[in-house]
Amino acid sequence: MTPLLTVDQLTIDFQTFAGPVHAVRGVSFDLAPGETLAIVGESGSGKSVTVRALMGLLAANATVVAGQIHLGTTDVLRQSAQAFNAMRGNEVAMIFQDPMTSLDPTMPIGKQVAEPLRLHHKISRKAALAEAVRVLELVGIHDAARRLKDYPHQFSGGQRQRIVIAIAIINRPKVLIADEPTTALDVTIQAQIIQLLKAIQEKLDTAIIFITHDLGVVAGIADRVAVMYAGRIVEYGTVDELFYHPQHPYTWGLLEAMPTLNTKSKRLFAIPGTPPDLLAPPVGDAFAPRNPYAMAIDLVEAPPFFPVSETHAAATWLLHPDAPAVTPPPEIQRRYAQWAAHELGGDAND
Amino acid sequence: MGRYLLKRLGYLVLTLFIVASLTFFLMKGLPGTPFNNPKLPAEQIALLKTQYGLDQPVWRQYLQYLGGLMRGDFGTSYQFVGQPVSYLIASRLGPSLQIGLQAMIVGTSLGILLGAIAAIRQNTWVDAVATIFAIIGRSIPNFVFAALLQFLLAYQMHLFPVALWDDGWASSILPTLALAMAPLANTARFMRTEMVDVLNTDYIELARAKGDSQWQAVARHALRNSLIPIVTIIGPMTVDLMTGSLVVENVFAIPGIGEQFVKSITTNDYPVIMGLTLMYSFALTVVILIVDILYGLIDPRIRLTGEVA
Amino acid sequence: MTATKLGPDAFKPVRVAATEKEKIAAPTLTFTQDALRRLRQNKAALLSLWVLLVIVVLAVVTQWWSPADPNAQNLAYAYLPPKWGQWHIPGFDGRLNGVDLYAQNRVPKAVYFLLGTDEYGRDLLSRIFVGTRVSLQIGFIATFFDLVIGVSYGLLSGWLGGRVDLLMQRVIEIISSVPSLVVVILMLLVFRPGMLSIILAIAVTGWITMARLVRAQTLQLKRLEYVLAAQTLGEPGLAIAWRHLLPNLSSTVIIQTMFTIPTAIFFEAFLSYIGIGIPAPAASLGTLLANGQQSLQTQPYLLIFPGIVIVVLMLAFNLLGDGLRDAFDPRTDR
Repeated sequence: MTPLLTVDQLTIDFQTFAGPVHAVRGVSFDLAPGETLAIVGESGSGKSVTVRALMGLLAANATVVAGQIHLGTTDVLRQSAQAFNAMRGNEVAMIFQDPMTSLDPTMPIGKQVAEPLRLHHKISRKAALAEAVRVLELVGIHDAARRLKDYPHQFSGGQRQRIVIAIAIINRPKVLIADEPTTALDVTIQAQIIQLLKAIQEKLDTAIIFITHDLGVVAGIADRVAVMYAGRIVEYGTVDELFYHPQHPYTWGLLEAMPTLNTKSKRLFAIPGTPPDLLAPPVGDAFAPRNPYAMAIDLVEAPPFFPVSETHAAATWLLHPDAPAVTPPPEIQRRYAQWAAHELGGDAND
Repeated sequence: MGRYLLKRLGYLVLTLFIVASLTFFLMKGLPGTPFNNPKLPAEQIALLKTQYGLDQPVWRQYLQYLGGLMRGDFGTSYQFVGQPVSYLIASRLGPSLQIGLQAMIVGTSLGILLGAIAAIRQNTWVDAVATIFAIIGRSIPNFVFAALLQFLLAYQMHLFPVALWDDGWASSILPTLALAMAPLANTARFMRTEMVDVLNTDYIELARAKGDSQWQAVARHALRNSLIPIVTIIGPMTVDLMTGSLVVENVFAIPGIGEQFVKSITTNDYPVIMGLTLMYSFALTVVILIVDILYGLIDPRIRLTGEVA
Repeated sequence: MTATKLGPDAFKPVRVAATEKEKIAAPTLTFTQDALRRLRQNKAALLSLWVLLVIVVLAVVTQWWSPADPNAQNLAYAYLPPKWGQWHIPGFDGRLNGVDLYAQNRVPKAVYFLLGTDEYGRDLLSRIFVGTRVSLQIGFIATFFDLVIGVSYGLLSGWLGGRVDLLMQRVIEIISSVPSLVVVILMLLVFRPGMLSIILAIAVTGWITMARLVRAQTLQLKRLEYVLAAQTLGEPGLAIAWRHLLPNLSSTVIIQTMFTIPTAIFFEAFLSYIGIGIPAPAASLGTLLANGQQSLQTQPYLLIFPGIVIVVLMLAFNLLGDGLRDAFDPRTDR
């Protein structure tokens, strides 16, 4: 299938007092119509910056140094400001992290939800509000018709995130970007919002880019996963490949750090150390200083992607034919065992 | 809301009572009266004192003064013999109110415009120019500014009447400009700060994500959100305007209450000084009360309760 | 795959030192260092600081080395325009409207006044020095009183809280419902004009803003953990206020001070303008301006030069205050 969206070698710098910070360093991925891609990484790994470049909402001190983004046939980064405005909220829409601050506190929610319709289509105020009611009901705001004149502070956090989602989907975008949409919410509400996003995707056939630092959330929603570290993608693959056949030591660390019902150890695992300073990214593999499996070459040269399968690749020298075989941590070995069982059974379903 | 209003009105009356009492006793503590002119014969002075009730014990004068206030009687002017203070104030209120309101409208609207543009074009030369303009506006004493306006635009270029209140609306232009400077500078500064804050909020980013252009996001979302707090500077602005009117009316010889106040100070016309002090305090407290109520009405997040902030 | 520079040892495992892992790469700055860095980058604020220093030094030094006696009257030299020696700089060549007033009044060639003279033939430059000195004195002393009253009132109100706070705030509300200028005028009527009474009058009204700011911040600081800790350890309340709160209030107080000084200078000028300021023959910027305004149409330089001085003073204080606020209040970070 031809991809809906391709990001190619995207490189973004931030100008700061101390010098340029290389926030995104050659990120490439694509997105098929109707699929969900999760981008996982710690804060500061460049995941939010990447999607903001796609939205044209980079901070004033950020510049795209190199790379391209194509949405269908549109060269996204080289379009005019007007074309960007016409694309935003129409073909590509976005949901933000904190629903408590995402809505204009002084505008009734009906008007806010109808705004993208009025911006991108010739439609009467009345018709737009009627559509707003329909979409609000769709995202689970009950009695929406009567609540159109209510202000954001009259809704709970979960309800507000539903309203933000309504704003995002009212124009049936091809791509929906969800930037940590559940981080600020209670766990029970998180699950509801994930369910809602899945339901919307089925109904509208929207492709979703789901940004999160929480691998646990990913399993429930994503088709494919890309793991980012220090401004680069270090591993990508389908959800099953990433969860049961991970190759990069960083992915191992993330999976180990995720508590599961099988976790036997009393202490939760944490990857030692801190992410590198992107003012002066280290030579070689940025993860090497925190990597217990680091090799001499990691400190000299950054690893290229080594393909694992047609859909799966990882940027680690461990996959080089000359590299010594290493024993992954026990948690990962357990996952490998599950993976092998599924492979033999020829059934990747749980 | 009703309880809140009642409570606020109660404080208003209490405040005015305290101000009236303080000014009264302050004036009583003043050395001498304007009738201490040695040229006046003793019996004439005694007559005047009886006429003004100054021969009575102080506590009775005080009660009489308070009683008078209840009936809207502020006493009688010393300078303009026989002229009631309330009449004096009323006859001079018009020009002051007109110039004050004009200055407030000109100052706030231009200030909002300037501050908003500076915030939107943050850290560009436009911002720098607007900020420098606002700081200079804050730094020029209003009487220097008024005098310069008068000198340049009236004496040198003959664009406007030099002074006095006899040329209709044209007479009010220069005083309005002179008076508007301080509120303009303050509004611009406040507006810039508010707008910069608002432009960095998540809901502005969401508005942009909806497809709003930068100007649409400003017009639809940023402007209203940064305008609401502007209401709170109307109080301090009123003070600025009152202060400013004292000198501006003097520079341009306008028969307003500011000019009258200065005149009363130099002639020791105590009843007029007391009356005007009360009037200024009354105006200020009422403005502050209106601002608080207005703030509650225009900001959907605030619902007025019995609490006094 | 790419050829490596390491040869056969390329895939030997290495251990990276634990300290390297925990190293935080970006240099860290303390709050004050960060604020000072921001202040140093603010050229307008730095320039203002220098301008203020120069003005203050000039105003102080001319107490002993004045170009002329600021109070010496010589009616023969009255209303002479500015003249800079024998140079012919327009506006500074002793001419007014094309007439050489020095020649007309038969002023000796060696005598000239850099900024001209007033109606009594007094040297304007010398009087500006005196006036600036007086205005600065009033500004500084009044601000000092403001500081003492405002900080203690705000600290007490915020720290004690409860009913005392409520009462103290009510008092502030009542005082602030009279325009401060009116209060100043009333006070001057009672105390008769003079430097001390002007200072007192300004101080009586000026502390309110300071008290409000300090109270608000005290309320915030009071809830912080280290203050609670000090309380738990049994430190007496006022000692905590003095040792823990005051240092944290310092930036707020310094910034507010920078705005109080020009306000005081402005008030003095204003009072002199409406005729209840510093009595003659003493000079302040206000009396000079009031005087200059009366002869604005005939001798504009008498208003313009003191006007420039007061505007520069106010500008410098405002810019420095803005700079300090931007530097110490990260919320307004640019």
